[in-house]
Amino acid sequence: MNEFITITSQPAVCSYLQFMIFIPVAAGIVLFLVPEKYIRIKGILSVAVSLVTGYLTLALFSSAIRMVALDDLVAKSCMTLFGVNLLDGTSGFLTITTDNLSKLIIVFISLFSFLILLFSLAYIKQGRVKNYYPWFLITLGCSYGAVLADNLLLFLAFWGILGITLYKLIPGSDEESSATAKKTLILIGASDTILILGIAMLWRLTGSLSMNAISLPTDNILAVTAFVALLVGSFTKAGAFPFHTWVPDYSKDAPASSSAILPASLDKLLGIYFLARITTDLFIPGEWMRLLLLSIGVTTIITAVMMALVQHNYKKLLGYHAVSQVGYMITGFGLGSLIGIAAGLFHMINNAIYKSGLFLSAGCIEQRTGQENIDELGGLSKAMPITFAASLIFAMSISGIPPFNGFASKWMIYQGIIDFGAGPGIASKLWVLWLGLAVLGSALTLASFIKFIGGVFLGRRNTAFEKAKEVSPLMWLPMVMLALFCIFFGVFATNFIVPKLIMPVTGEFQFTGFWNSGLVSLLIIISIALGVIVYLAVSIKRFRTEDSFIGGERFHEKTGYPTPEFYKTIGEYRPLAWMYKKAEEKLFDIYDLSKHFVLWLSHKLSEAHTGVLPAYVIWVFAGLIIMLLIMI
Amino acid sequence: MTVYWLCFILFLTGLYGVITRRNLVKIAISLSIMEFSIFLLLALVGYADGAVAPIVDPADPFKVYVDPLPQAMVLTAIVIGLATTAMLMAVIIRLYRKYGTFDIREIKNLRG
Repeated sequence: MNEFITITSQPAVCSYLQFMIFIPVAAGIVLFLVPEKYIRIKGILSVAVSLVTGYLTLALFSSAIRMVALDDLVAKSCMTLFGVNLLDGTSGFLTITTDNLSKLIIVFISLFSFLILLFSLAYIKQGRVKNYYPWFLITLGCSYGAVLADNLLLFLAFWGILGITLYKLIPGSDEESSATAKKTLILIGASDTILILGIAMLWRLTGSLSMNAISLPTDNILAVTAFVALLVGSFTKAGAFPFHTWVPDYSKDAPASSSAILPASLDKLLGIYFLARITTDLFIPGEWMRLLLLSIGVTTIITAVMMALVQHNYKKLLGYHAVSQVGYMITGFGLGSLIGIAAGLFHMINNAIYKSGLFLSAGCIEQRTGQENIDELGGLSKAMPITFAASLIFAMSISGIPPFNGFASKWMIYQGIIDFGAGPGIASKLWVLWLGLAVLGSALTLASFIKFIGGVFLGRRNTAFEKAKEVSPLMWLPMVMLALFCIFFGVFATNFIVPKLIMPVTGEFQFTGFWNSGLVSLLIIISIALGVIVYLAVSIKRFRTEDSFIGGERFHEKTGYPTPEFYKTIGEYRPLAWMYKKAEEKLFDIYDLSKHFVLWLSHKLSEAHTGVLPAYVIWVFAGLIIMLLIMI
Repeated sequence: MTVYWLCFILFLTGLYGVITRRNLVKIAISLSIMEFSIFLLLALVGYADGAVAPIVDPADPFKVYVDPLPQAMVLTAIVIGLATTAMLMAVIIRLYRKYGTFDIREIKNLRG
């Protein structure tokens, strides 16, 4: 995208850019000073800030500027020490790029943060998470910064702060959630370290830190290492195999609104944004790198969805799906064709919409019932009709059912894979494998969402939740809006959304096959209407009432909707049972593996501590002698 | 050259004591031996055969003097060494009061 660079001198737009990053961060810091007692006021202020920045992002989205250096900021800096401007000479690093990709991402960041802040007003009660709103706003400002930064060092600074805010948005009051927070911090921190190494290698190879200027083919070993190192950074943020393990735990222990903003929407947007930068701007991935991306993509889809199938905690189930969907985006970027990249981006946006919606509905269910286990719930559809309708739309979107948005982007990915199969090379030869696994993953997603919807909303109501009622409008309004987005993005996918939003980023391309989302939606609506007419006209009076169909399993009296039994059968199936057992023992968790390694190493080292003086003296002198030998 | 080697052997003797003895007082004595081997080495560096103390005699400008710098240094170091030895003994006395023994194998709360 190098040909688009134009350094503009529009002062108005330049200051937009500064304010977009600094208003939320400054407001966040100020909100630290407001006592927790006034949490409602803090919330309203945060919503106002997100509205202001949302307006700024929209203004930026419609403007034409491409790239700016923040010279103004450097010149007017108040960071002076003894008359010397501390920021002097940094204008080379404070460069900001606003190509169509960045513009697209920041608009959606604003959208999600506004909706989720609205939800938080009713959801986050005093004392739930310490300093929720300040950290949220800092997250918001830094996300804008990370997406807009052109210089890799500037990007890295914002990216690093986001790792900390992720850690702070989880309560950490009890043992389990603080363990999760620690796990998140360690995984993100470790991946950031690898990312820094990758950027250092990139700098060594090209001598430049500007994203726009670098375009490196992965033909030598150093370039491949740098590519993989940057991938690790983006994969951990987005939550792809094998660095995904913080996502399910985080979604289980963090408040639902935290999961909705970070693992579900913002981290996806950022991680996949960075993946897009890596694969399209910074590097020109070679054949083997494509193979790597594709295999990681499909592995992520399948493993995460298999784990989601056997979960009983609905928040954890959603967490595994947050991982599984990333696989589709990686597959899209792995294809490298225009339609593949477009599909990856489109799926990222769609996924952020329905996944944050799902987390929000999980938050509603949790608030009304206080129960996180699917087996204990059931029959909430009558009590919470709006939540049910919204969740159903989200669930159908994520399972890829037309005309919702999940189908539109998944269909583009399938198209991309089929196109890709025509190309030369080993990755293209395996196209049937990629396609088959991607479709299988989608089917399994549907299976696990039948469990979610069925187990929570359908079946018999548990007597404990007789008094459960619909959540407050502040909580359902964001969900309804997200659900409308799901429908809108699905129905107008091929006619409006993709040509208007995605094509400016990737460039023009043609869809293959006959798929017109508007027409198909019309047909679906007509068929549903016909069905309703038939139902009403024929007026079926005589119908049987039966117990719920449970897939041939034995009926248990105490569970409301006994689908979990069916999923237990999957878990007991021989070859899968072995895998699930190993997964239960956390054999595939990179965090636990490295934890075991570190503990083993420190155990070995602690054996050297005999506590007896002569042993230490011998160590000291041995070290001294080795040092002398080296120095001589 | 031989004297330097002898100093080194004296140093190793002290080191051997530090490593092998179990009695804390004996370790302190061994440390003192190591210390004094170093002092000896430093004093020997400034020594010249047939030289006299460095008191300048204007009548005889060709007189050979020993180097006064190492001597001054060693004098300082002896004082410091005395202080550290006293400190060491104080620690040893405290350890004896706490554990009731001088045997360092009994005193191993640092064990990992």
